[in-house]
Amino acid sequence: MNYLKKITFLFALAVSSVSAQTYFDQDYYASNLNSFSFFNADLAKITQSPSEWQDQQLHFRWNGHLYVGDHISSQISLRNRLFTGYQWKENSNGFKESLVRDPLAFHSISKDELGLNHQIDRLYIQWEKNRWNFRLGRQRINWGIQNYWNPHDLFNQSNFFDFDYIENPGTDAFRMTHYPKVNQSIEIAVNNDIVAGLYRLNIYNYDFQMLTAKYYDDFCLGLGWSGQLQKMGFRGEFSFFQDFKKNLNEFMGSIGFDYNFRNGVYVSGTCLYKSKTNSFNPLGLSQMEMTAKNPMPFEYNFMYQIQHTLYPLVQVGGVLIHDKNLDFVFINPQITFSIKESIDLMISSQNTWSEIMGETENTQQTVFTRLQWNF
Amino acid sequence: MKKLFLLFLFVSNVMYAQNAYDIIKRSDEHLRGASNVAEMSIKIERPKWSRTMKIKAWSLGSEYSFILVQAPARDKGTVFLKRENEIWNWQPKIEKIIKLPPSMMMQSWMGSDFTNDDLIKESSILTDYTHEIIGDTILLDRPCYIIELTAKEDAAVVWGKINLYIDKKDFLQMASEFYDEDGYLINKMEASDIRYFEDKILPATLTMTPFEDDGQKTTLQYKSMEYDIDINENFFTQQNMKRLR
Repeated sequence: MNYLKKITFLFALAVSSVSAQTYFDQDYYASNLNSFSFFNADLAKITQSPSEWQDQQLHFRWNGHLYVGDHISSQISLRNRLFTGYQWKENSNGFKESLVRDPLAFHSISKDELGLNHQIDRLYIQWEKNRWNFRLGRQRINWGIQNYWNPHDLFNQSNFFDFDYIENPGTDAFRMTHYPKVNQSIEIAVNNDIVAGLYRLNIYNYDFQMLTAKYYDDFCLGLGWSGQLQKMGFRGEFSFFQDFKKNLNEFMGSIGFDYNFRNGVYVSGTCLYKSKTNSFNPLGLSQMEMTAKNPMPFEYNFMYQIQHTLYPLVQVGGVLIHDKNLDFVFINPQITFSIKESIDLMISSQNTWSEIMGETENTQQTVFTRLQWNF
Repeated sequence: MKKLFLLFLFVSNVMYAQNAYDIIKRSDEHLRGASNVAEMSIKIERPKWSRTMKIKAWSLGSEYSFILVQAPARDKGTVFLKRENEIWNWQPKIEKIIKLPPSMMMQSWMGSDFTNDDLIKESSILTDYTHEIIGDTILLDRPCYIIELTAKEDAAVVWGKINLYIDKKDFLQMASEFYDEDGYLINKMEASDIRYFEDKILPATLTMTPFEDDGQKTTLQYKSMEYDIDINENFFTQQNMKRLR
């Protein structure tokens, strides 16, 4: 909390003390997310959990950008969420504690029925001139070249199931980017656990990237690309990890295609292979901790996506995810309406089937409604 | 004699085609200049609702362009970069650059009646089509050539045929009719509000109307336009995608 106050004070001081060459820009959005969950009745009896529950969340996000002269800028982003409902009240799966593990997060209200949580997930200063860029502080380092499941996202692995957090958490790091030529870039990024370098090159109408890193107790090497086969998008992202303490090797890679049909239908397909599987909890998908070594837990992971703009104001889509043996199946239909210029309504459903004691069971269904206002 | 006649026919066809090409080239050069930056609004209109977006666009010839979305708030800061025949999209919310597949070009530009290709101009009306003058007419009191553009067999283009109506005096593109590969008329674009931006005369308003959908249209209106600005191809980089404001 004291740390947070110091940060806020320093940012306010910076804003008030800079000269006339400064420019401040901000944007916000507010959303109301409601979820209705239905849990497998047999599992509910065994785990002594309810078979259905509801959660509500009011979310207000603020992004502030400060530009000082031509070369210096900074960003601060604040995520504020008001929780009511089952997860907060019952503190299911340690929900309340999971929100304040970060030193830049705290609860300002923590009552039995209601909680208000705040988190600073971007806070950095940047210096940029000619072909150089230096950034220090909490930032998103998004190195994935695939659409989803990115073994190259060493610093900020995203969780596909947590669709309400598109920005993803930041990492506290120093990053240097150099652009030696128009079609090349070199990035070096360092935080407490990772030292990594990424080289990007555009050649023969393909974007290529090569990665090398010391990632916790692993050495990591990676290769990725994004290009086209005929009119179809074609992407790949591969990584090799060697644990130098346990002398264990791991390999993973994903390949994906996407295509837009003339009638506006967008389809994509991705397969992720991992040489080592991980355990996972099918009942806590959105809280699952994803890492570059574990973007998904199974040996073979498949994802198919379809999207179509039915009408300029209405977009429908669906996602199917499964493993090789269909022991895990996830279906996620979604519809989005543009109600007004800046107001969108989304209705989505996450449905999970998992293998439990030799049987594939419909474990959980959750229906989400979200009203979002961007301004 | 027969051979001489055939040779005459061939030469005259080539000359006509050359004229059509030159007219379109001159029109294209007039519209683009060597380089330009423009701010515009795009209004999507339907019988019961409308949506407006604002964009800023930089271009250098037909090979390099940037489009920065300034409104609505949901899409603010989104950037499209075109370098020769490649296109990237910068999504500021997820801080990621995505390389777009060519099939994305035929999609609607953010829900409007323009395609991505209409705005980003991946295909070239000069190099991807053959050209022929098929007649003339008068639009907004301006005598115009009617030029038929037919897609070359190996060209990766959205439209099978385009009829361009080009003003004979100032080489303005007064109207365009877009046909699909089966020859059906899909969209019609009409220019209006002709005025000077600095010392260059241009239509300030372009209206795209789908042929089969009554009550639908998308109107692109230029708010400002500057020509021959000081940029070169090194401006159009992934590094600058993240810097545009």
